[in-house]
Amino acid sequence: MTFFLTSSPIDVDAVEGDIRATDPGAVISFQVVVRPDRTPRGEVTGLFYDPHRELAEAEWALIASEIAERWPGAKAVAQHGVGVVPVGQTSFLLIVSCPSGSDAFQACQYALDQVKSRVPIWKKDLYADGSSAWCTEHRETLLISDSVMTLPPS
Amino acid sequence: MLTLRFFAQLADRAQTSECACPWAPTARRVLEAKSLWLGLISPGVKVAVNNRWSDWDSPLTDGDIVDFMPPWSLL
Repeated sequence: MTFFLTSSPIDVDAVEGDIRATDPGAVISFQVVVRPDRTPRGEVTGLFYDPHRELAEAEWALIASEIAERWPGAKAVAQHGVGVVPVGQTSFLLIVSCPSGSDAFQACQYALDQVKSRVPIWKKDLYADGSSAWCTEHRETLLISDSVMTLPPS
Repeated sequence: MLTLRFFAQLADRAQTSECACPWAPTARRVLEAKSLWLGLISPGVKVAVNNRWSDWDSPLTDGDIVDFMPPWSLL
């Protein structure tokens, strides 16, 4: 079984090879590769991914099963990096196979949309000066509030 | 007692990713018990209990693990 979350570099060829070995027909591969974006805080040197592990794995398992139900013969495999992923490396890999090419495209788009909306993984920009900032959906950086919460007695 | 877990920006604001607190009937009441936590009550913040999706007003049981998650940006 391939786990969705991985702290190792994603081996795209190996994952795709496993899919191709099943003689699937159409195979669509989608990757997110970390870019050296320029932001007001400086150039991004990498991203730090922090998931809710249990929910992320559970949601991906559900999404994969939904794809198998909605598109007969379809199979979806995905891996997502956890921790630091440097610029140039793949942080997310999604491969969808299907006997029909059009179904494969639809299933891939479905998988991508569902992963984005349902899988709780947060990312943080890492900068060359050692600082970092959480990203929101629109890549705005959130400033940490001066008002630190008071923790309850344990 | 409840175990509270804060993720991403919420963990930074809490200065911890996990803490314990006395039982409260709902996740909303957990945060309402501390005025400084009121700002965290937001429709954009999702709640999970014992690693399952939940909501602000579902009943809690002593010993539950309650997660507070800000919006995420996966890709």
